[in-house]
Amino acid sequence: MAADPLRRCVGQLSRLPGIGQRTATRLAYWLLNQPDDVARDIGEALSELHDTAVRCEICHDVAATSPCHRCANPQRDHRVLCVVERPQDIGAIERTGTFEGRYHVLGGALAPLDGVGPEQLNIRSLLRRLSDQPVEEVLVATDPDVEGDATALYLARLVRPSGVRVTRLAHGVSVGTELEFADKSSVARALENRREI
Amino acid sequence: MRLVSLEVADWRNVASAQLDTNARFVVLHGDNAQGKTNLLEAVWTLSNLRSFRESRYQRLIRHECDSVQIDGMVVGESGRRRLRWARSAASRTMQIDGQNVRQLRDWFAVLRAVLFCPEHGAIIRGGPVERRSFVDRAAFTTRPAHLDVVRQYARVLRHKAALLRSRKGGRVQVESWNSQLALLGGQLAARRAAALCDLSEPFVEAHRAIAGPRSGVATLRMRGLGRAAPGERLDPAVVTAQFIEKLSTGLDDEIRQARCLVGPHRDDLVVDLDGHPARNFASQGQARSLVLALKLAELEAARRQGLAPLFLLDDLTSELDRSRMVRLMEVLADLKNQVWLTTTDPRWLGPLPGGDVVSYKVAAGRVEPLSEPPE
Ligand SMILES: Nc1ncnc2c1ncn2[C@@H]1O[C@H](COP(=O)(O)OP(=O)(O)OP(=O)(O)O)[C@@H](O)[C@H]1O
Ligand SMILES: [Mg+2]
Ligand SMILES: [Zn+2]
Repeated sequence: MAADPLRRCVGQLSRLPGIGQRTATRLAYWLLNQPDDVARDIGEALSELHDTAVRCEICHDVAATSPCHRCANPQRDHRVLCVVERPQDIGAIERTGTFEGRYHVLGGALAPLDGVGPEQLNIRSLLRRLSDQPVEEVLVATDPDVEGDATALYLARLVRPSGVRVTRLAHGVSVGTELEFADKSSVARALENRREI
Repeated sequence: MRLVSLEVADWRNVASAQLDTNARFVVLHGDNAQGKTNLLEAVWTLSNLRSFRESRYQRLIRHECDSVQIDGMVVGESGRRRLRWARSAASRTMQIDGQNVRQLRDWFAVLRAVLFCPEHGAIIRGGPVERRSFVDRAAFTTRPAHLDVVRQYARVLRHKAALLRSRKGGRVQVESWNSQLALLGGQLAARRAAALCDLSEPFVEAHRAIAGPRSGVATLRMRGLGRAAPGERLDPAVVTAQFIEKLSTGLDDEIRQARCLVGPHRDDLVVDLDGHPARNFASQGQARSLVLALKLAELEAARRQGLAPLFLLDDLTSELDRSRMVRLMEVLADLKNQVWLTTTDPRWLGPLPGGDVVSYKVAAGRVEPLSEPPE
């Protein structure tokens, strides 16, 4: 006997983080009441996600191609490199519309308590980029918490000897807020007021 | 501020209780193991969002129950506010007037408390941990932002300790954590010194008032990286610079021993009695009087910042002699703060200021009002 399709759908939706049984049920009924291409488009996008999404070999962002469209874009400024913890953080900075440099995704922040050291982060590839490309400034946009700050200080110690400027996003973003969730104007302000470390 | 009503559900051994506490003094009395301290602990938990004797919330929930709830009505500077705190395996509730609290500082602005309990004798006679937490708590009482600095410093310290233990962190990594530690440590030490400035003079006064004029002069000072004489304030930038210096000379030792050897997490509060450290010389009763004086100083420091925390005293009667007890009650009578007392024998308290007292009898987790003040 086939499983009840609605129940199956609710069960799958409720596996998503932050989605409980109630929300999953509401979503499933909403989908059921839409024209059938809505559910199909969502389903297609989801089922292709793992096949089509790749990690950019240069910046480690999640993209359709590697190198990603930003790394392949000759218009973007080579001289400024913005370092973020997660791919989602790039969106927060892009939304300000004021940053024209390139990105590098670390994949987290230093956290010895959780066993995260430099080897667990994309730091080696960052250093390689700095020696291969004419980068003049590394803008560290890690989260404004103790781990993000320590990572910024660590990068500064690594990078400064080579003559590259290291700057930190000003704490316009309130302490403890992940960049991803910060509002656009405070990110823009933090970008503008970045300080050298 | 005054907690004018308290309601608990499935808290410790209390299934349900409703107390009308709109008075300057709230007295809870009853035999041993009836629930007096439990009720005081409920008030403390409402003001601090954690217990003073239990870190696992499961143990706060009455046996065989699933959830616990504390409600309180506070009348204070910001008007009437209803607080609700509840905990279960599935949820954690903190509401002011029915709204979920987003920022802890909003909560702490409504209700604050200072606690005295028999275990606090350890502040005088125990190790530096108890004394440091007293200073941090007093700093928090007047300036809640101190809590953020304490937490961040502790977090950086734990990361650094883990890094040293792993023996995988090179110097550059350790130095990166050290830079942060030094910044936060400078702030921590300066804030503690400021707290000590606020406490010093009220402490001398309070001790004289409780112990009597002939019992010696008690004074406070910090020892260690954040050392400061009574009345001396510290510039965080200066402490940070000293700390950086110490960290860089100590770096090799720290890496070799895989331990954090320098910093304000090793500082100590020294309480002197006539110039001798009370830790080594104070008697039981002297220690008790010194702790009470510290707590009264904390209240006075808060008062000078325009705050009036509740004063919760657990099991007062156990260790003070008659004359110290009488003097303490006089001091309490002069305070503006709401005072909560638990005792097995209300006669020990002596006469409380007339009219402004509510008394409850606590027996086997049941709470009954007493219309007559206990004889
Ligand atoms: N989660 C719980 N569920 C049920 N009972 C509990 C719980 N936690 C503590 N108790 C009981 O509450 C009782 C009263 O504790 P409490 O510390 O309030 O006593 P007290 O009245 O202050 O006594 P004393 O005068 O000895 O200090 C104890 O017997 C303890 O076993
Ligand atoms: Mg007790
Ligand atoms: Zn890329």
